Amino acid sequence: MNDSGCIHLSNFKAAKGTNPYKIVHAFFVSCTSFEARRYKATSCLCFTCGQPGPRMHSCLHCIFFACYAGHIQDHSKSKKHFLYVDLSYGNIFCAQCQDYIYDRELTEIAMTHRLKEAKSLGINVPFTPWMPNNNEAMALRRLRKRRLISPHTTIGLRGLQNLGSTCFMNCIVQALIHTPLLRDYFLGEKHKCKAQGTGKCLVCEVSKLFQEFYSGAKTPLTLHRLLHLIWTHARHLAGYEQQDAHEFFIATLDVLHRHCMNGVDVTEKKENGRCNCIIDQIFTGGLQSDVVCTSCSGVSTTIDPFWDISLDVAGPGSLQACLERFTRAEHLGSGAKIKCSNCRAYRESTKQLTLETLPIVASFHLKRFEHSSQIDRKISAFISFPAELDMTPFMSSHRRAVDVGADNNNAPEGIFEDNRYSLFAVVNHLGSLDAGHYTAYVRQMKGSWFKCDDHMITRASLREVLDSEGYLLFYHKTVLEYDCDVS
Amino acid sequence: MNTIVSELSMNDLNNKFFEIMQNESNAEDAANFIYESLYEDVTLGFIFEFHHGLKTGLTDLIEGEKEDDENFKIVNSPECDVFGLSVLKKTQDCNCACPNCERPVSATRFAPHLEKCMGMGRNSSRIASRRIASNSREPTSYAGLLSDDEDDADWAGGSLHNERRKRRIKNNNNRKTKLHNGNSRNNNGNHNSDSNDGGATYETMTANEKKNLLLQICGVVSEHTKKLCTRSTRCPQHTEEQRRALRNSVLEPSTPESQTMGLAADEVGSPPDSSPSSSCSSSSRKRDRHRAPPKMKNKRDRNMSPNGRD
Repeated sequence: MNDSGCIHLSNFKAAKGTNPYKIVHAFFVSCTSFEARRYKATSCLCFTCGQPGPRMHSCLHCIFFACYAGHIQDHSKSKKHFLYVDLSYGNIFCAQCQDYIYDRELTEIAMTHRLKEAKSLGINVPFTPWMPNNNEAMALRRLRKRRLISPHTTIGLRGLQNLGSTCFMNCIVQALIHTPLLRDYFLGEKHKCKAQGTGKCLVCEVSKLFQEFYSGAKTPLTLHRLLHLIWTHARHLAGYEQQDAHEFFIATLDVLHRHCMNGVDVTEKKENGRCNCIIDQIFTGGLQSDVVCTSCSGVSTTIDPFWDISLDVAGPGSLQACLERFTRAEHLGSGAKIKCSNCRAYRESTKQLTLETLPIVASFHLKRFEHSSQIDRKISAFISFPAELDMTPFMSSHRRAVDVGADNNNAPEGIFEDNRYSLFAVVNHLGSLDAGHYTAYVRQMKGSWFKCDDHMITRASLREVLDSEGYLLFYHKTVLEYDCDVS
Repeated sequence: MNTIVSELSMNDLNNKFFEIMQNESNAEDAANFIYESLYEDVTLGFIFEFHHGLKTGLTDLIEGEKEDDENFKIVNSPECDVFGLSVLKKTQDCNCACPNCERPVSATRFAPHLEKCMGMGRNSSRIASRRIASNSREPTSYAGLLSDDEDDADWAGGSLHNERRKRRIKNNNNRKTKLHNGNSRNNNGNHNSDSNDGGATYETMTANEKKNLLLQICGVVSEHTKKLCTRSTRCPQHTEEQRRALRNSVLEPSTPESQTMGLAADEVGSPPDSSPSSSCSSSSRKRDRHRAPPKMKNKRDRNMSPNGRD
């Protein structure tokens, strides 16, 4: 990678150092202080024509601002000041090379200024395109071949050996491996672990799994170490006869989350105490529960984190109808009086659940297995679910707006919210309660679906996926917003 | 030409701003100007990023060369999966090393093996509890009751056997067991606190009973509950040390069994299974074939060439 500028810049740096660039950058490109912002606002006008543009530049040799419409070039020519700095991004133009040039040392200065600027404005780190460090650049140079994911290759697909009724594990692993953001995290080798190499960390094991899935190998994988790790750390799963894929999914997230905390990732923990591990970043949402006293209308609100939403399937015919019912206000009868802190008495009340914050991956569990004292049964009722789902109607903010009578067509506050999700995995349970089998449909790329039946991976159509029964449904947020928390 | 104002004070700026904004068309122009400035700035950012990539060679470095993906092409055939493996053919079984006991285990039997190996599973403790219970009641029949190993499906036959076993457990327990694929959230059933284990203490047993019992279970006495550990003789909760110590204290030191206990655990006679199920004979045969450590070699051989799997 050639980022050592040019001979002219090198000569300049040798004579005058990096200070001229530092000053120009800190005051007129990325203002690192209030003072600097004032300077920039008041003085960035072309010395020749008085205009604020187009494209202001600053001479690196002397104090001179001019626009790119000829005036900075004139200055450069007449004074033989060959280097000038673009004031939008801080890149240096060399008049002798007749091009913008890039110098690693100056790029790094620019980066620190950008961070300082963000800090002085109280905003988050700004976006910067990825740049390989020296080691990464070397690796990229050494290994020229790039493996691409395409809809025509098996890269990213792998069959999983059944270890004796372990289809419940296989289908969950397939769903996790095909979670787009999780894939980016692991293929980016973001998991740095204290316990590396000890074989005790489930996150490391999953990290290895991703490598296996993208290795191009075709033989089925044996997940014996994964099963052992999960059973070791989630003993309540109590053996292979308990084959509930949903239970396994939640336990797996829990173990992954705990192991993230053990790793170095713990430094990522936010100040407010909420866990910021990759599992929580992707899977955790906030469920709001409003209990309204029927006497005084006092509201008691609690918000609990959730990893998935379990939905009753008796009755409604679609996922949206299930969610509609899930978020409907429910009257708690006279038999379930709750103490109202306002009335200081036990009162009848209504309870409503809504989604306060949405996770990046929304997981829905259709409660198809019913266990009661009388009967254990499986409910095979058809529940339709969409490929694209808008979660807005189930949000707390939306419900509030509807309640106060806002026009349904007018978006409530937060018009920039985009709560669209797209389906990327479906786990199905086939057969009866006591002799069943799990399979998974996964989306490898947009529009490219596969059916995973243990070691057997076959192509599937979206139609086939949407027509399947559905036990666990996994949706991924379509648009990811930048984290804009003001710290 | 007037002198060019190249520097303004904040005050000048503010005054000018208000002056200009008095005029509506100016305000419109200003809005457009701001929009275009932002738009140009963002566009310029893209162009710089692109230029930077080309100029420094970063783009070439990142893009590299496309790998030849001829070998990874998806096979499009109704008889094959995407890898070109026949949908009708069973996968080849292979061995994997159990992370718990480090022994090689047939992959297709790994889960049931691991369950036993880790001494977990609702059934294993339930079975063990029952073993103790019947042991204290009828000292002569325990040996024929279910052993851990009989329950250990990693060496056992197909699902038919499994099904029978489940049924038998149901029958024996006279309790509704929630198993099989169902959502068992409500079933916190750790049933090893079965009413019967309370009665099982070493004091009430004969030497023979103790001996035979300790051939089958871990047997270490919990400090808290004073109960016997009903997990397998390889249970991970307790150490070999603890088991040895217990055996030394509970069994008479002179019995040879107490020394060879760990090894000879399987040479217990297997009288006919006393359970009502008809599968008893087949399962006891299986036990004989696959259990004993002296037959370890035998077992490994079996692993290498698995017979028909389900």
